[in-house]
Amino acid sequence: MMSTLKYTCSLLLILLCLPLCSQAQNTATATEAATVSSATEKQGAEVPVYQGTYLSLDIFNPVATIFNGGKFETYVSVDVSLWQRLFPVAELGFMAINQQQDSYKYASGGAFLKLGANYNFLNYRIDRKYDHIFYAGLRYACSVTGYQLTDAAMSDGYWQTAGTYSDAYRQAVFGWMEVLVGVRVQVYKQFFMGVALQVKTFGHYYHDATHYPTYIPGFGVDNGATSFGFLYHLTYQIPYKK
Amino acid sequence: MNRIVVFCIALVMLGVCACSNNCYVPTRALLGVSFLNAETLQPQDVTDLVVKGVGSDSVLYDMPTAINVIYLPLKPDGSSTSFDISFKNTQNEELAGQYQLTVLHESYPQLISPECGCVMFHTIQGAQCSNASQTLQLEVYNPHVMNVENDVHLKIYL
Repeated sequence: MMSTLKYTCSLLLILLCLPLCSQAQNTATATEAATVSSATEKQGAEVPVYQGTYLSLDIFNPVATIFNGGKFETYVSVDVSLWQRLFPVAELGFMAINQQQDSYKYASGGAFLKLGANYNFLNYRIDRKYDHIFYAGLRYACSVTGYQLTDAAMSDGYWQTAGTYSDAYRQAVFGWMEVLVGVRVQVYKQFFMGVALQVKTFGHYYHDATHYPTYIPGFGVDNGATSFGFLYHLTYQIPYKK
Repeated sequence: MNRIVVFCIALVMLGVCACSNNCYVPTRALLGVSFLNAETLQPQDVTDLVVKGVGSDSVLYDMPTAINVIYLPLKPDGSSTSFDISFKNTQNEELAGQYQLTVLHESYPQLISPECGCVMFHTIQGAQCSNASQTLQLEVYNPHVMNVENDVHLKIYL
């Protein structure tokens, strides 16, 4: 009797434990499935619109000042990451020149503004580890500059004349289009480093210019042809909640 | 630390590479004068062309063969430049002879680049090609005389 009762109780206990074991197994399976599903869901989830704001500072042109004969130029820019795909950007810079050569003296100063956007071709998933981008961009730029050439020493072999000549102070407003390709790499936490190649074209004056500045802020020397440029900047990403 | 050193070296090298010491554009601003047929408006060749600047002893052109465009240097100082021109017109013999081309212009220096230096540019304010008996029909086609090669500024109709 007692043995039968023991066996009966044991059987009942076993029968009661079976669902519990099954539930535990189901829970473990469900946990794994939930983890896999979460990752899958995260991969397939849409990237939120806002993916950070970036502040950039030009470091190539200030260094180049050492080698380009007294022309100082730099810029700062801000761009916002939308879906880690589209980066609207605004860039503000200025230039100052004071060249004191034996054959001429040239002084100029001005500022430029560029508006446009970059498009990122890779590393735009929500589960990305870093915020590197490889992009192509388009800009419209406008520059205002004042300039003056004085004490320009020139001689004419046919008319047998020699002397120094000066021009009046003049101002010019110049616009152009830019196409650029570049990369921006996350080097340490919120700090990035970026390089880009520019093609500057469709240059035009905002007035009937009979006189032309030699240097145009943000553009370079206007010789009537397409101009090329190089960008090298440091960028700081303003922290945001991912 | 090594990355910072490499970065700084690369930055300096890029700055050096940004410089160029060569001049790749023309460094003279010459007045282009073309001869055209007054009826067909096509280029008109003239022969035995001789051109000399008034006030200079040097001859700019002494061309026995046919030519329909010439390039003349304007004075860097002063507001007008004159040239003595003589030619034979192969189409209209009545217009052959000696003329004086006078160009009124404003001159101003232009810095092309540090490598190319300065060039004197001109803005044409008026021009006339005439002698004692007649004045040739002349058009100021482009008033801006700059360092553009083979640019035409005046058109003389024969």
